[in-house]
Amino acid sequence: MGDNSEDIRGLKCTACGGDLGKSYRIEGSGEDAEEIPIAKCLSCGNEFDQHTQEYYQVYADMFIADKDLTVLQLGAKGEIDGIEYEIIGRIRYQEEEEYELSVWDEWMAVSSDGVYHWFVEEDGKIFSFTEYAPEDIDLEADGNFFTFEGGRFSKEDTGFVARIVYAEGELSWEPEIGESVQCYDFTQRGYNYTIEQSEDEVSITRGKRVPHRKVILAFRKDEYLQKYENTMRKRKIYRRKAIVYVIMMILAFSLTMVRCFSGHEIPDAVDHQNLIVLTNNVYKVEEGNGLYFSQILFPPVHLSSSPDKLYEMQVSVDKGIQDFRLEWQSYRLMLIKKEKIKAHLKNRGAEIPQETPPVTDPAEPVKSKEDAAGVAEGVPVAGNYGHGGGYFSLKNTLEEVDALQEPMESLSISGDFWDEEGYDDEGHWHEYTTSVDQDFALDETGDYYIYLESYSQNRRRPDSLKIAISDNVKSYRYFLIVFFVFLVLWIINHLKSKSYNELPFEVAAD
Amino acid sequence: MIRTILVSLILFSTAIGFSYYLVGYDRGGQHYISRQREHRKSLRVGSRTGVYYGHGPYSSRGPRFGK
Repeated sequence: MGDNSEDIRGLKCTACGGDLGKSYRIEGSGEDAEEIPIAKCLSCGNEFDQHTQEYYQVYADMFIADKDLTVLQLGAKGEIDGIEYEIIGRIRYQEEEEYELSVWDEWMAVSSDGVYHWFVEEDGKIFSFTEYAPEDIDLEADGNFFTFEGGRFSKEDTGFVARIVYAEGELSWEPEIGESVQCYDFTQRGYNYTIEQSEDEVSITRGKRVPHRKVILAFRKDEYLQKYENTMRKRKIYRRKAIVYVIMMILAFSLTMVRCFSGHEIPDAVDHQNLIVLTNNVYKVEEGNGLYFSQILFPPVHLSSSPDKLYEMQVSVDKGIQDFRLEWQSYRLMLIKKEKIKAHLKNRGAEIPQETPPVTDPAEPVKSKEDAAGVAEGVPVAGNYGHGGGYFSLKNTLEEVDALQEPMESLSISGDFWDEEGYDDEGHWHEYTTSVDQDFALDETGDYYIYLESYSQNRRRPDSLKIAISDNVKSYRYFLIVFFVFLVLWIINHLKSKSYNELPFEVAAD
Repeated sequence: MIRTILVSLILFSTAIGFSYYLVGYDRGGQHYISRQREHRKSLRVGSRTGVYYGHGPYSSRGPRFGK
């Protein structure tokens, strides 16, 4: 039997005798639409899919494109485990259910003792099979199951249809391109078994995997042994590298986790009862946008961790005090050393006020000093609470805090709260951020005032913002970054340890 | 292999160093003050340093309050 690839030319339609060509049909719709390759009559349009013999004849060139990239070859002779073999034939199969290339080669060999063997090359692995006569077998035992030497196997799990797509050499029968065979592949007691069932015959073979090295040594030593050794050596190096990166990944991840949960909230660090409201919801227009502006000064917080320690500042909206719905609020927060404010006010001949002005209706805006004249009775106005010059000096100082040539604050951080909703393809959505965490470090320990400026779309109660501070927070971001770097390096080396190949054919790890 | 171990150790040491010295974190104190001082020197009288509001829409899902 010779090369059958020529036989497929000039294929005719069984219905009208017209020429067959390659085509495709669309199955499914929308995003699930898929182009399924088919053979099609150019005259009558008759279609032949992968369940027909014509399909394999038309697409024969696709199935044999890499037919020479194999370890074994016709006529090769070699010795494995003391037995001499000669390759005398080959059949290439394609799995019927696959549209893509999914082929394997079965090489027929005759041994020195006259027994036929099959060397199967599939997915970079080589198996050696011989005919096998089981003690008991019942292929129709139980509907979807068959029994084999005491074992019970599912036909669905082990079965598939193979189609012959190429044949060459001296075979014990004359296969046809596209011919189908029902197969069942399974393993039992350390052996691989294949049952091939056709209309009038059942053949059973049993085999084991043969290391590539043995096969190359036996049949292609001069051509491929050196390349095989290089390939395996390189893969081993990549495997070792991958192990190093795995160890580093575990180390980095562990440190990330430990440090991620570090830090403890300083209990009652921020006094929310005695805050000083310097400005309460003054309406302003900036760059064409209207907004409400508030200034709040929280009593001093004692921050005593050493300079190489991190703090975490959590600013959040207390919805229990005022709901936050479909609006935004931004804040800027400054840490100002107690001595600096005192010194600054002393220069102005004033002191820090000790009490906050009463807020009769927190949502009611307080007019600025300039607009205070003519305000209705009962509306709180800055300067009406007996704080005298201290209150105004502090308010004026903090209003100008950006303009002071010598910065008064030690640190400034800002954040946004928002609550939004809308509709998209999935329907209604509602998202929000009402709590912001920020890490910071301080060069100096001591008592710090927290000065907070609020910019909001709606009037917001000054006491609806909560501040919590945690100390002894450990930085973990860089361990997380190196974890991902190690992960990428591990993936690269792991893949290379499997795929690095100097040989023209696929080789799986032995 | 030596190169691999060396690269790993350098990466890990970098993470330890950056974490120890708190590289990239907001740091309050002299560094912040001197940076602000220089920044303010470059500002003209009456100019503001920034606007702290109106960055939205915040959600990546769509326009703010969009329906």
